Amino acid sequence: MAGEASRRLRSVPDAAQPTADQLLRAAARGDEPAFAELYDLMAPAVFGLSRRVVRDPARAEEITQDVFVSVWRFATRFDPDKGSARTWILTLTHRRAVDVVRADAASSRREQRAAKYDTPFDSVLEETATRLQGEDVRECLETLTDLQRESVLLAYYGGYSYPEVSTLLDVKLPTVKTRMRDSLIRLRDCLGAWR
Amino acid sequence: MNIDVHTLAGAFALDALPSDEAAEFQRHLAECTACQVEVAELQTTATHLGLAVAEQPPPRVREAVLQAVHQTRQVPPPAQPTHRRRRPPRAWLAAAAAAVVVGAGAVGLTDLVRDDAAPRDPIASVVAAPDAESTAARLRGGGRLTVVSSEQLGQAVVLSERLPPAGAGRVYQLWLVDSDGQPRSADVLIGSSGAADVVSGVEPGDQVAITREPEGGSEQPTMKPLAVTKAL
Repeated sequence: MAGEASRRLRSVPDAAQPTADQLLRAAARGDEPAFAELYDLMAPAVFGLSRRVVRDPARAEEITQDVFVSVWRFATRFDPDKGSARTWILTLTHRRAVDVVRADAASSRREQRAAKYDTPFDSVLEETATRLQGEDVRECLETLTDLQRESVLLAYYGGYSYPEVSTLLDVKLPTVKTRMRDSLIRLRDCLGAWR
Repeated sequence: MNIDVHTLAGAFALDALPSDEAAEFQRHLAECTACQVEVAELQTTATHLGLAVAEQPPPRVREAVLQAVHQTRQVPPPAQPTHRRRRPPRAWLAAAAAAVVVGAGAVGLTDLVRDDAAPRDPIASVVAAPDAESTAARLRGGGRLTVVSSEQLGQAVVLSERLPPAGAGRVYQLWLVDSDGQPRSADVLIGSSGAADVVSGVEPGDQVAITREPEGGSEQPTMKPLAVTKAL
């Protein structure tokens, strides 16, 4: 297990640093040190995203733990032809976080949250504006229309379903669906994400 | 599929579909290569939004993860295309060759990845299983069968659509067929089209088959299958 210092060193971008894909493939062969490196590489994104969606840091820790144990268990099923390890891991993270949020809905906490939507709605958008780290992501988000941007941010960071987003933004359901798709397409083209 | 389903790719990539629509889209995805590509791209795009909010977790999470991992067995890798080297099926199954088998191909793993600990709706939990795979087949005489199965759960969701009426005193019955071609009842009877059923006890090498049987179902199929598709 790496010490604090070496972990920090490793997070510095380095040409020789193995990619998440390489580490995940090594982990699939039972390589625990490679998995620990993969954790160091991806844990900030997994934890940050979980925390953004569920808000409660303790639950974000639980999600982070669950996600990484799942990544370990199912590393053998990762298929690099179908997407990158980063996407695989963050897709898993987001779904897990959204599941947690939706489970709260069942216990009705969420209806209350949706009812007085000023708070989460504003804070999702506001925090996003101030806290996004990626300059490129922030710039690309600015190329979207307000409605496109809000649809994506409320769904992704807020964990809202599109019918909820439709209520929050007071626009028709088909409009929200379309906005989610065309704004992601615009972001994709702006980020040059699909290499 | 209609154009409306197609527009769900964005909401799907953002996990913003309610579970019933997610299942519907999943089904569409299984047979729409263009959609699989689009979803993969949009998920990659969404990944950038996730990376943009990175935040260092407390060190205890690392300790807990590495300790758990040390004590956790990994699932075995997927078998190499087993249907190639699988023994030739016995007569009953061979007859099914006539029942045009349309393998829709596996849905991209990233499209289906989800943690195993998120049950609630049994259908949703199979569809959302990290190892879920999807196939589809048309029935002789009309209708189609879509199977989303998870080896990890040992379950499959079987969606039957546009089945012609089974006829008076008849029902459709689902079967699991093992790699030796032996059918066993999946304990699912379908009276009308549009059903989605969870089948349990699915084992690697199993296929799902459907027949028409007398009301109440049969112990063993009384006809050649109307369709067969890979389950696991």
